[in-house]
Amino acid sequence: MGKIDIVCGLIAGALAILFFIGTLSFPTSSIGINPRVYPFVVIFSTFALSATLVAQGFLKQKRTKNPPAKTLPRGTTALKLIALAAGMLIYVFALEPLGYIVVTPLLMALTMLLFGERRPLKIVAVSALVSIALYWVFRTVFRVPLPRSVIW
Amino acid sequence: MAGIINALVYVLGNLHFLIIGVAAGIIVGAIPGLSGSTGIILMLPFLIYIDPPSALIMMSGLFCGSMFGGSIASILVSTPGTPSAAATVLDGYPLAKKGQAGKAMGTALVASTMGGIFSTLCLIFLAPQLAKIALKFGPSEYFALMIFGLTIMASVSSSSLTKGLLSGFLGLLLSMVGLNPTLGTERFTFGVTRFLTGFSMMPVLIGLFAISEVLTQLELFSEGKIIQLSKKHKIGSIMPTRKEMKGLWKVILGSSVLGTIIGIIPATGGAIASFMAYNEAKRFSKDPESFGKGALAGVAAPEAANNATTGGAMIPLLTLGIPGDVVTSVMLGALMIIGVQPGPLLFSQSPQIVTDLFVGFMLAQFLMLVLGYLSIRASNLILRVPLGVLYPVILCLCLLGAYSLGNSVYDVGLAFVFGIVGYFMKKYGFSAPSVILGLILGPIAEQELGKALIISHGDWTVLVRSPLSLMFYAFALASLAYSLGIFKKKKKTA
Repeated sequence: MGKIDIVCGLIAGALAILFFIGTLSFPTSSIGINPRVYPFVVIFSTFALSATLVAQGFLKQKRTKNPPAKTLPRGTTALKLIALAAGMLIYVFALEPLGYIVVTPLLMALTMLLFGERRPLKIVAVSALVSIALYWVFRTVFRVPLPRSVIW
Repeated sequence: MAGIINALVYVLGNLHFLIIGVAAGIIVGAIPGLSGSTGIILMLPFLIYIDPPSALIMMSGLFCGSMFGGSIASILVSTPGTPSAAATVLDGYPLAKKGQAGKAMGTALVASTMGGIFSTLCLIFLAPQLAKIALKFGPSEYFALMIFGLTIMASVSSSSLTKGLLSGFLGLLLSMVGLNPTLGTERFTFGVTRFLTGFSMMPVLIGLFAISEVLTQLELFSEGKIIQLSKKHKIGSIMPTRKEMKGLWKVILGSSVLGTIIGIIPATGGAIASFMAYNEAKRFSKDPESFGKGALAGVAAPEAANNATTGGAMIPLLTLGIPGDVVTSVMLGALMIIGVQPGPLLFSQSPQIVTDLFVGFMLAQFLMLVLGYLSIRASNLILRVPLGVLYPVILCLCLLGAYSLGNSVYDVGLAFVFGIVGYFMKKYGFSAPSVILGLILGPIAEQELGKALIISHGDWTVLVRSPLSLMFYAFALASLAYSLGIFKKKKKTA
């Protein structure tokens, strides 16, 4: 866990630095509070906490002689997680060009497969029915203009 | 009186929303891996299309229902449905092993209802008084209150104080993206026009809590740490007898008082209340040896206490806009999405919404008794819900929910990004509720600070001049010290 703490601390620290750079272009104001003050307090506190986390990570690494080997998911688990994340990412980009009713059953079928469902008929039926039911509720009852394409 | 009658008419006219809320709460509470906060987020896509008072009572029903629902899995499969039901396992599961699962769940139901009724009465009587006091707050007192509220982010984290605080500060960083609340000037947009409006609460909530949960559950499922339950459990008789109730009422009453008090204190919550009530019930019991072996009092105490925290936690949330625990943090975000701004002004500007909520909260307790009874009968069905259908439906609902508020694919993308971030945060001990607290309370704190300094012509001592402000700073320090103590204790016992 020590290594993870160091990495997380460094990421948070980098984010704080990025925000600090963002403050350099701030205009100055004489009304009430200087616009830089509050962001500075938040940014420096974030940076200080990131540094503390990095230090704690190094201490943990020093104390633990045999660090746990597994920090990130591996093997099949990693593949499943990547598949789901990729499926969601494709969903985001395909939602507008292909339309809700085309992409949602596909994502749902993929998720069902990943959660161990193996019966093809059940996968097709559930993913299609749930997607259509949600489409009907949101499109006709709540009047949400869900994306539609040439296909549907 | 006219307000109460109006509220009663309104709630009865919209009873279906309350029924859906309580029933959904019991179901999400019963399913391990889901909780009240996830339930509220899954309901958000629907809540934004109904009247704010109906949405509010539906959410409250879900909050109360999920507290009881958690006990079902605790008793039947020794896995708490929610963290608040962890103490119920201690005596609930041994009772189930003795073939008295129905009796244990029935006792949990009666205790939960009584705890809920007691805390609702406290909510009705205390909240308006506290709101009256809070109306006198100026910007400097509000700023101090927000600082106190922000210290809660340290305690809602489960792994370390540093990670809890860092998560909260990441929320504060994100809350600064967009426009300066005092000057209206652009800041931290990094050239991205979309960032001008900041991060919308809905996709952030959906991503951090619900999508991340689907990913976590997929990992657990893949590693064989959660399995599809298929075994049918014997339920038996349900309701405790009059004789059994005679021996339980003192425990229930005491635990309800304790739960309500703990609920009012920010940074605590149902899990702490239920364990404390369990310990107290054991300490004052004539037969402490029976605890852990299937004592009905060991089920009644934590269940009365965790349901009593619901009304208690609503007091600071409604009157001060300060959440008490994880569920109320999510509820605060949800309230803002549906257009209800909690705080003392809610009581003076929209008193009817508050009365509707009080009446709805009380009715939810009685509905819980009826729906809880039915859910105990159907508990085998609820626990055996196929994971291969449940999580795909949740994921689709999440993505649809993210789209529906602004009809924007950008929000779906944002929910996806925060889902991935939330998954890693959970995995490595960071706290998603702290991010939400930072995101909600940060802008209010900044705005109040700006107002206070404008009024005082830039004199910073205005922040520490009022005794009320000093009291909130003291509370903030105490809250941090308490969190530090808790983490030190955890480290020692680990």
